[in-house]
Formats: sequence, C-alpha cells, structure tokens
Amino acid sequence: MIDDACSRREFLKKFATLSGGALMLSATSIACSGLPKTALPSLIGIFFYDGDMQRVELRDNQTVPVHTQFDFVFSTDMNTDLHLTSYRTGVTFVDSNNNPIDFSIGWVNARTLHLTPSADLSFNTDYIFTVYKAEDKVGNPLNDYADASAAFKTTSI
Amino acid sequence: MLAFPCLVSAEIDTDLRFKFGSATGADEIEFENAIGHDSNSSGTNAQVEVILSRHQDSLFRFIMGIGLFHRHHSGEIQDLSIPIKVDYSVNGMSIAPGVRLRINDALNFEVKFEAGLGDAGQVTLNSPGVNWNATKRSSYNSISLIVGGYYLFKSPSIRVGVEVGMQEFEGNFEIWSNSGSWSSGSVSGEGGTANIVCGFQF
Repeated sequence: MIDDACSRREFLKKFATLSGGALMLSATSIACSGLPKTALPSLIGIFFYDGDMQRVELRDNQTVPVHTQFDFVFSTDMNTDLHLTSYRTGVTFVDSNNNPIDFSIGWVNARTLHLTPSADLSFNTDYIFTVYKAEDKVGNPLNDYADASAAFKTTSI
Repeated sequence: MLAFPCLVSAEIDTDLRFKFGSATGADEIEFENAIGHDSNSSGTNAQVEVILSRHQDSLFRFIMGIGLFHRHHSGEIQDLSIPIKVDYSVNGMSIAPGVRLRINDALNFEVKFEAGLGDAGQVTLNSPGVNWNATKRSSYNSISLIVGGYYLFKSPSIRVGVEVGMQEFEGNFEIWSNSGSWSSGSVSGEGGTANIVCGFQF
C-alpha cells in the first residue's frame, strides 16, 4: 500500500516539475520515507459501575458514585502481557488538585482494562483519568491524536 | 499597429462558467505513524471559471481557464483498528490550460489539464467512541485531466456542457498530538469526476 501511494506521489511530483512547479507537493518526501503501517489502537470508551454494578459509559462530566470501578475499552487487542507498573502502560488518576489517587488495574480481556480505586472516592469532587501509554499486540502505540482522558465528578453527600 | 498585426487582429473569446458535480473521494489518510485506506469515498465540486481563447476560425484553439472552487473529499477508512469518517473541505484556485476542438459554431469539445491549489483545507474526523483532537487548516493541491463537450446557444450566448475527468488530490492538515505539539497529516485520493457546466460567452 505504501508503495502504491509512493508511486502515485512520484507521478504527481513529475507532473508538478513538468508543469513548471505550479504544484507544491511538500508531503511527497515525508510520505515516501518508509512509514510503518500501524493499526492506530484507540481508546473508544471509558465506563464506570453504578450502585447496581451496571456498567455506564462515562461522558460529558457525568456524576459517578464514590464507590465505583472503571473500565477502559480499546479498539483492538492490546498487549496484556505487561507488568502494569512498567513504563509501557500508563494511567494517571488525579483529583482537581492534581493529587494522585491510589488504584489497581488489570486486563479483563485483550480489549478491556479494569481500574479499581483503592478506597472510596471523596464526595462532590472532580477527578480526571488519562491513559497516556498503551500498545497493541504488535507494539503499535496508542493513538496519539485522540483524547485519551475523561473527567467526572462524584455525587454529593 | 503594423508591427503587431496578429495581436491587433486577435479577439479574445471569454466564457464565464459555473460547474457543479463530483470530485474524487478521499481514498487514504496518513498520520505521522499510520496510514489508513478507504472502502467508500465520494466528493463534490462547485466551481466558477473564466475560459479565455483567441477568436479564430481554426479547428483547434488553445484555451486557458482560471477559476475558484469549493470541494469536499470524503471517505470512510476501514483498515485501521477504528473506522474513520474523513471529510476534507477546501476553497482554492484552479488554472487549466487546454485545447478546444471546434466542430462548428455551436458544438465544441475541450481537453484541459487543471491544477488546483488551496491553502485552507480543513479536515473533519469522526470515529465511534473517539474524540479526535483539534485540527488546523493546511495546504491543498490537485491535478485533473478533464474532457468536456459543450453546446453554445446563440441568443443569448449560453453555453451548456458536461465534463468528465480523472483527478488526484492531496490535502494536508495538522492535528494536535497528546505529546504536546502539532503533527502533520494528509488526505489523498484519485478517481473520476463528472460536472455539469453552464455559463455565458461574452
């Protein structure tokens, strides 16, 4: 596929030259420099568990219970053969004052990472998750061009 | 005047044309570390163009078209781990040198190479469950080989026609990276186009 794209761009480049340089194909040299084709693994959903332990999608600064757990769902099979504390898997979980929250994480299956806070969260407090490092089974890094974070607030007393 | 007889005797025919139809679809999207390909693409084109040619009674005439266009190139990328609906829209300028085959006063055919340039192409990305980061406008270029058939009504001088062609384009964009900087990307495609033409000859 990359070869096809490169041949097409080479044709465009030749045409640009022949037509007096009217076309600026600045991406040609970048595009044909041997890019890897990757799957662009992406975070496609963050869910929390409500009081009945039903999974609910976390979106739009939703209010969540203080006693809860979370799932991160990915678009493709991820590398679960990792020590979760290693540099290759990174999830931050902080409150509105940027205080880190203790939690444990583990893979439920190849596409779902489960996070359990070590203690109940505080009432009426803002939190934010960010998944900053993960990789799929063949080592492609997490999609760097999409939001991999979620903000939420816990219920009032 | 005696020194430039050909210029003095040359009259310029001018057409003002409006074109509506298709543009080639977005077949491929490229990020700095990923390339995705499309399985279903389409595009639209709206264009206003001035065609200049020297008035003469020969079978062939050289022509030059200069125009402004608004295009959409769309596609659905399917071979990455997430489907991506891509829409690239751009305003730009076209330059189209070519040749007109004059069958008679009313019926003409034209073959043109059209180069399109734009500097404000905007990409929109949509994927289920994914919030794509912000994007910025960037440059655009296209080339087309266009063949058209036209009929000129004499009073008033209204020209109608149909154009078909092959087009290639590359639309660049910038997208915010979570690592904290703008990253470059591009949308490209190649394929057929068809446009309806109507206009006036002055």
